[in-house]
Amino acid sequence: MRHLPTRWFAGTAVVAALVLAAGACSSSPGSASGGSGQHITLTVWSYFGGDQLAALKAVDKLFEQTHPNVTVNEIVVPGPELDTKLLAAASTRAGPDVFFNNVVVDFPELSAAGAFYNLTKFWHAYPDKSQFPAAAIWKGSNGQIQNVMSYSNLNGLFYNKTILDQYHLTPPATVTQLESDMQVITKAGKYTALAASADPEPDGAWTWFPLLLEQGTNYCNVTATSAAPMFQTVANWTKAGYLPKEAATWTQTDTWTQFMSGKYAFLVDGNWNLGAAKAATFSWGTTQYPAGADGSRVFPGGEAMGISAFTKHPQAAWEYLEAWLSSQGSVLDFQNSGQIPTRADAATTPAVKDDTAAAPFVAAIKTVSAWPTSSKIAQMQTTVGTELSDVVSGQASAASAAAATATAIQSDIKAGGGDC
Amino acid sequence: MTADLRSGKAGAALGAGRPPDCVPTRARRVTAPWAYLLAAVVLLALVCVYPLAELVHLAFSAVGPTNLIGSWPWAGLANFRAVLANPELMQAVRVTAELTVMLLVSDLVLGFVVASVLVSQSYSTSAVMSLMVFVWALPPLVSGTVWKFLLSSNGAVNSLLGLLGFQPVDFLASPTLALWSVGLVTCWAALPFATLVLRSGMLAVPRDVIEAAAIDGARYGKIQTRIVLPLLRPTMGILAILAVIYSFQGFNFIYVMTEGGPGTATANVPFLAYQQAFTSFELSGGAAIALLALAFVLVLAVPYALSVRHEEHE
Repeated sequence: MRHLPTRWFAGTAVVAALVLAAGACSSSPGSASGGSGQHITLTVWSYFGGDQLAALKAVDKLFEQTHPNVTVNEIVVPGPELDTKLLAAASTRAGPDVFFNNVVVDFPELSAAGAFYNLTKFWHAYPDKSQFPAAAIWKGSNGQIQNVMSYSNLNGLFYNKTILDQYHLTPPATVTQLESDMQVITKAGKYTALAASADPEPDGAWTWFPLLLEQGTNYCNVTATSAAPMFQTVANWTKAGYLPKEAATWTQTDTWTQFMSGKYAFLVDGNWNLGAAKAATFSWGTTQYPAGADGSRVFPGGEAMGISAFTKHPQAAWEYLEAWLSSQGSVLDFQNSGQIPTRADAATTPAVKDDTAAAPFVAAIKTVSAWPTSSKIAQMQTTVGTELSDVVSGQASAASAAAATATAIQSDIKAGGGDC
Repeated sequence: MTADLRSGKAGAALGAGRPPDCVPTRARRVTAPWAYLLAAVVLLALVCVYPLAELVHLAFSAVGPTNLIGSWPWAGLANFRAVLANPELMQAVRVTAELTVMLLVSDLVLGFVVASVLVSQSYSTSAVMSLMVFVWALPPLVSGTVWKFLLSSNGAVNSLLGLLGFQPVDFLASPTLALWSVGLVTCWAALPFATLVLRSGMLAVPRDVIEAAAIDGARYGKIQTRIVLPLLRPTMGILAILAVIYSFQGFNFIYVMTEGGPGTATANVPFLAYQQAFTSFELSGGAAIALLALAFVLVLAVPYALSVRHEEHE
């Protein structure tokens, strides 16, 4: 019987390896045909889904209409993986052209890793820059403008009007009123009062920390004493049955799913769900985050846009950002996803200001609290989330959680260089 | 080819009595395997050895987002000292140990029982095996999400309990129950593989040994425990090693179902490594934890694998 020669197999193996290597090299996500006048593909990374993705596609279409030689290639990356991929892309000097990052969590790390293109000259030449508040611009430690926010997402309170009407309750404006309403609903036994995330991640901190902001406490001045009220409130509400114990592992996606089942009276969540809320099978409404002693205060959130430090098309990428920053793009984004424009003239257009569901979130922008500048902000939020999860699940008392939180945050501030 | 061999060095070495196209077998064996192995060795080096070397490098360096691009300063054992001093590591080790025990019991005991039931060849056995393979092949993200909804306070399991007159159970919110819930789901996903492996081992047990025992009056239980089980010892040894390795890789279900919570009740060592590296961006700390886990698994796995191999040669 004839056998194929040994050299045939060896040669085939070498050729196969070369083909695989060539395929890998040519499939880099950031590649695009370059050169002026030639067709360009801009790769955009985000973790958007649902309405946010619809908004992305709408603005992409707007951009492509005015830039016929550019195609936007949208790539959705799972949320928890985006920062890892951006850091990996930065280390290999590859990656997307534009990305949307969770700026309030990952900006220090991405900035320190050199992932951002310097937007300073683009921003200074941008004719509409005065429309945007200072909080919409994020600068690195070297003073370079690196992230810009065309919209903001904030926490507020969604309520199931169908349930409130059954018990003749009005939407609460303060924490005290909320507690009173929850007591009525829980006593009746038919519905659960509150869906709110207390998972051991930044989601939990994002949901509950406003209770401290409303008492004048923030990440930079938190102590065991000043942190205790938040944890005690959460402990009391769990014990009273207002908040289910399984909130200890709920993400914001889980809480939204629970609220949309129609069995929860209240939900702490953000304006990015306004679009999805239209699918509810019950009447619903929104109010600002229930006010404490210092009024209603929340952190501004949402994603910021950045251009990759290694993009081959910085000008095209900046023009893509301009589409988002434009009044038309901002309104399109709002109409598709409910994300509140940071651009002043867009926020006052009838499409935005006449939207009653969005009104509480638009109002909340005026009183937002500033984020700390510490590079350890992600760790601080995770600490708060973990301790909240411990309290809700009964593993820790409010006092011990407050003490652990204060110690860990003070340690993080020190580890981050003392800046906060 | 025949003409080349006749005229070349191989042909000259053959001698007068050997057919001209017959290359000595020993010469053929020396050249062939290296050519076949080359691509596999290169691939293994790229996807296994190189990342492992980088992990070790990362664990002994001080690396964060600020210097991920660029040179990594040597940190020696500083990362390991910091990790070992972290109380969360001890908690994660305890969680990992508990999950490992659950998996070992499930794979070895339950796997043996299920394999014993399914060892017969029939249509129903084939149907059950097919279903088990389907379960095994399900992506953990999918099955974990389904179980998360099943075990939620208003999920199917609690609804069933309600119909039977029981109060709802916090399967994923109670610190104790959350670990059991995640552990049992992990066991459920791993059982099909254990069953397949043990069933294959059982089918390899000589029939005449079992028939001889039956003729001597041994009952089914005694045959299984006194004859089949000892003969399966090497297989079970390998399965135990795989179960330990699997539990140290156990990340998916924890991530999907509880995110390590409530609090840190279900955060095992791989999850803690992930949190350190990708949530807190302490890349070297995460690498140090991962390396400690790898070292632990190697300490268990290598000697046992060698001993099983030794037994097989005997």
